[in-house]
Amino acid sequence: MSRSLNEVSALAKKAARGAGYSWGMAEEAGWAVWWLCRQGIDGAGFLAAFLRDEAHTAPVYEAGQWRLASGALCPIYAGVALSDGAGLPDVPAERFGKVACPALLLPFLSTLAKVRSTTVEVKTAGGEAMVTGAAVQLAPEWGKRCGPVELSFSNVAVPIKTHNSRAHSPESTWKELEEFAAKTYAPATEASRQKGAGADGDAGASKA
Amino acid sequence: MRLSRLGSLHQCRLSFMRVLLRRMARENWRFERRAFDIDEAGVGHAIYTAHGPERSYSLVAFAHDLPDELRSDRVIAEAWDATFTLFDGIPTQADIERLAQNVPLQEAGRVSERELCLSRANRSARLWKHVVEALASGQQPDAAVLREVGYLMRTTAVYGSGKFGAADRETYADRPELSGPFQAEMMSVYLTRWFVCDLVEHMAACIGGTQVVGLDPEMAAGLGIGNSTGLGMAPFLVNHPVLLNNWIAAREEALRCVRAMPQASAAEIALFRDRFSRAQSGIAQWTTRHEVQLRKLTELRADCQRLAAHVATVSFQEAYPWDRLYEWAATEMSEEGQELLVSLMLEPYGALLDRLADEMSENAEGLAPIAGEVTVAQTIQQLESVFGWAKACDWQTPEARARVWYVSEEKLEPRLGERFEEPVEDYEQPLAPARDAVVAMAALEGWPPETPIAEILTQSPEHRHIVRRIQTLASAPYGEIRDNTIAQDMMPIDMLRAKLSFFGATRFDPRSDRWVRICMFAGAPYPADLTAQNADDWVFCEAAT
Repeated sequence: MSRSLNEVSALAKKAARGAGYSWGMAEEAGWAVWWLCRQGIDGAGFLAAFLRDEAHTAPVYEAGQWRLASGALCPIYAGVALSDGAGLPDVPAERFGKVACPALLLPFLSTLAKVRSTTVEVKTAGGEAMVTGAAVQLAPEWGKRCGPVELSFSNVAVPIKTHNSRAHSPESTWKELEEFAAKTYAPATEASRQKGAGADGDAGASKA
Repeated sequence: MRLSRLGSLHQCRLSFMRVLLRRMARENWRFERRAFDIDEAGVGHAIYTAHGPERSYSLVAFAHDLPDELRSDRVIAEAWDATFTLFDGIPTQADIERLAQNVPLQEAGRVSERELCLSRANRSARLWKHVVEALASGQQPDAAVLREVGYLMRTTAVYGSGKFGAADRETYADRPELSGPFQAEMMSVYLTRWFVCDLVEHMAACIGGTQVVGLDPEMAAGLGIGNSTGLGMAPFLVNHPVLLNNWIAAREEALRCVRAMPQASAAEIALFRDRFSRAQSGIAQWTTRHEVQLRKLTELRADCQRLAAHVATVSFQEAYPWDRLYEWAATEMSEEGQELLVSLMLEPYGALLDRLADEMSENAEGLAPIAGEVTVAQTIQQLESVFGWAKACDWQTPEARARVWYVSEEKLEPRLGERFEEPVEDYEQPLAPARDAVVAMAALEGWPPETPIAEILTQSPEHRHIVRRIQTLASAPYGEIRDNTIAQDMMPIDMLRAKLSFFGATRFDPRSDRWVRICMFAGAPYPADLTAQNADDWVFCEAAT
């Protein structure tokens, strides 16, 4: 069965948090997955693969970059840097060394494209993708593999597709994301159960 | 707004239940019970369909035989007296079969984009038994008992917008009948009330045979659907600042319009007096055992007496009568009384004010990007303007940071923990914007003021959440709760009451600092009886004779 975009976004956010990102960054991961799914791209699958491959560790900041344990750049950090900087006069960086799961860059590049009224062309070893403020075009299987990324800017039009209203992924994807998300839940203890919800709504009070 | 004022809000004509019924009456919605397939044990399903001018919506209800000892209002419950979904259209047999496998499981099942809401309800055990037995023996139930409880069943959750697979709000928000906030959820509850009445009569008929009588229509009309609300709802206001802003802004704009009126007509004054009198009857019947609410109710009753004496003597003929009344209340009434007066002042002006309900939704999709070019100086200024008050709080004291909002692995129940007593801090949800703002303001002071915030966020991503929030709040001045949401003495019921008052709920009955019972649609006409004449003022009970 398909999933709604809201629940996918919420799950992605919790999964990123469970993997060690701060809430503000986890929110971005949730949004990025939502954006991809809306465009008919398996954003949930990309996030699950990314979190799995990068051995569950959140990136570390060194020498001005956020790097994963594997040495690759984190696409979420790289993405938000590009998106945050969209309104700045600087020219955005155009060459990136190893970037994990480049597909996760696309939503942020869309923001960059929108703010600068341009089309962003993204080249990797696996081919090319193009993204504007409203649309994206990519070859199947593009963006999963870690590798160098090159950006360029153009005026090429990208056809706008109708947005998807549901996300479709195999059960295994949801399971993987839910395992990460579960790290954000406090263990069930008797003390927590008694004090935490404060409810008097159990059978005793329900007799009212 | 501060929590204490949010916790004193009353329903008003912009409340979502009233918006729904006014529309349904205006557009001549037609209602039918398409199925009622329930056995003598009270098990089975029923379908109630509401036909609008362009689309139909069906409540699919499943009735269960729940043992008393399993009845719980908490999120961790696994079985209920009745479970529901609001189906987008008219369900086929295949839909019913699919829903029968999932809806009774609630969170443990899945619904599809054909379903808009998922909900469940439990009986008020005592009242249910009394009503069934009375009707079965050919008698009406005791009116005083009905009035005291107010409902036969109470919902314990109404999930919408994408939860558990239901349709995202975005997929139907452009339909006029569902574009307002929570219209689908309110429709679901309105139809549930009809079902509950039919079910109690059915159970009585199963026992009473030829002796049975139907529930007196006036008694039935007095009953609402209760609701048991806990911490699941409290984070909503913090997580949706733009939506909260839009609700408060609509109410504030309505108030501004009324205060700006140079005069009031005799008819308008008469309507105000009528609603006030009826509100007083309602307040006389409002019961609670909660210490804080009891104190507020005592104050409110005293306020009503003062207000009654004042409106008996004050001249409405002098210029700006409503503004003068409002100014008088600001010094003479408690917060509960002031907010009640605000709601009452809006009543005579539906023709002018009801259109404000169209501005109460939030239609932005996704997440707004952070504008990284905004400078440190600008960001500090933005934070100061919304959270400057929070700098006066001593955040080092345990009292200021006493609470932790978290989610339990036990059925994902939202809970509020004690930071220094329980090992829950690692699981803290981002629901303390005031604390985060103060931390951010201190951190930013260390940066050159013209630095783009993008640079700070690259190095210190822990501030990202609060920076996004403060940028969002630039266009949502009413969106922030100006209080410490993790303080030792913070009461989640203040947040619950604010949201529920916008729903149109009445009879706020807190059961703890984080759990409240309310009533919805009490006094409302049932669908078959809905007309343009009775669609709006039903929320005010009949005046005491």
